[in-house]
Amino acid sequence: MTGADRSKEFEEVALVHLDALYRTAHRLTGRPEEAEDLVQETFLKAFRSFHQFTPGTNCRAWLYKILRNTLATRHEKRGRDPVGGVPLDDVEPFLGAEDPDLGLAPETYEALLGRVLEDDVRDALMALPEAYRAAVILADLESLPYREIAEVMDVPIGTVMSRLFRGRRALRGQLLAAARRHGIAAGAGEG
Amino acid sequence: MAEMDCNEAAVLITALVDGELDLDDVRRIQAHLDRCEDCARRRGMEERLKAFLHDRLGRVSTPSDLKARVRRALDELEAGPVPPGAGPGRNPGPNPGPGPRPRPRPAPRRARGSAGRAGGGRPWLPLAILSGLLVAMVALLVVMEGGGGREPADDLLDPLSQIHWAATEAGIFQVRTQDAGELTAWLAARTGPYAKVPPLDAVGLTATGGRVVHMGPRTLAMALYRDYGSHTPDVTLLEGGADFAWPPDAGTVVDVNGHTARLLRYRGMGLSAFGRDGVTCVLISFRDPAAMRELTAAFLAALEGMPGPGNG
Repeated sequence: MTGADRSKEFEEVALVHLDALYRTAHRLTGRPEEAEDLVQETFLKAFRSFHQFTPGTNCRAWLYKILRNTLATRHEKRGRDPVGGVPLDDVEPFLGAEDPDLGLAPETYEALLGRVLEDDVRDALMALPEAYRAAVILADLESLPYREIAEVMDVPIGTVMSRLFRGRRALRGQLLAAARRHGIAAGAGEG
Repeated sequence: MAEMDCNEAAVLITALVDGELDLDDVRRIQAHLDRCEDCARRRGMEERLKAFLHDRLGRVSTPSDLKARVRRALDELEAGPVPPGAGPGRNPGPNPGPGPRPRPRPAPRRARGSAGRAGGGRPWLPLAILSGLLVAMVALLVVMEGGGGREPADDLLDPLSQIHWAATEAGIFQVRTQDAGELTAWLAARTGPYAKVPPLDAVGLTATGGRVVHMGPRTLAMALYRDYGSHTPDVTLLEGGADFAWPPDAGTVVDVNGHTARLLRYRGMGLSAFGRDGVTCVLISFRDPAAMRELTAAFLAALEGMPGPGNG
């Protein structure tokens, strides 16, 4: 295969996912500049190992995996929030009953969500451990099925489910708390 | 069957809103939700949150020059020394040697006979719709090709498979399962909407494969295909009729013999989506949009002309 053929195919199969990759990187890191670097590095790595990609499988998922591994290497080097580190994952049982927000009336819940600002979303997401954040992003933003999330994150499907369960619950708590603060600041009770 | 408690339900609700539960668990959780107000409310909140996150997390725009920068970096990489591992002999994968990678092809799922992998359930799909659609596909081949000298299937069916592959690969469709049991259960629970499509097993057309795919946060879809000669036609049925959310600028909406169809191009390939009997059918082909209209008309006409409960 000539270099031109290879580039053309890479363009058609992989580079078409640039927007999705950037979106994911942006949400994973919370930093636009870092997301750009990460995406660029991801595509360079993907290009080098493009021969390892199996046609017929989901290229987007393959790219996410490279992206996440790239992020993990970076974090390791910088001693930051380890990618994939999961406190409590196998310790804390699934407990849903004590969730205080479950008592909210649907209208109140809706009104509170309506008050959530872009910064709240970013902050709440970044407050999650990376493993939970990644699971939520891959499931809710990128709509990947559990099986593919499990492959990207290299964990069993049950772990994906547990991370989504906890991750969303934590997110919801943070978002609603932020919305309540805005409500109070604006002098409006939530009823 | 053991009674479900709220802790178990809480976990299953997560999988429920993600469309990841099998039919048995859907039935079990539904029974619990019918009785438990708290869990029913939790389900509503989880669904709402998922939609909220999908919307809000997606509010990110790619910097306009990022693609150009990535391309430049790739060009530089290619102009430099041969990347490690990209040369001949390092690649034991499906591509022999340094030659070109195969063109987009019907994914491994299409393995013929019993050589398939991952739940390659073969003749098992009992549902009438399948046969109906496939007969229609054959019928439209005749209509479109007019019995010319060439083998019509060569022109149409293989590209159909390729397009479906490409659409899957691009994330338009995401394969959720290839498990025959799950598909059968999924179908069995939906005989209602499909009941009008006549059974055509008598014609000798039986399914050889199929899958449930996951589209967006909640929608399920199904791809059906059957070997025809050396080819595999693809038809996709989307649950939810016309409600399927295409990308906003996807294609044009046209009227085909009283049916509303959406015709769109995807990477040089044509798709036609239209509703029938409460489901959305998607035909996929290399044809241009004009031919997709013709193909859709032929497909619908073939369905109309079939004997069966739908027309009897």
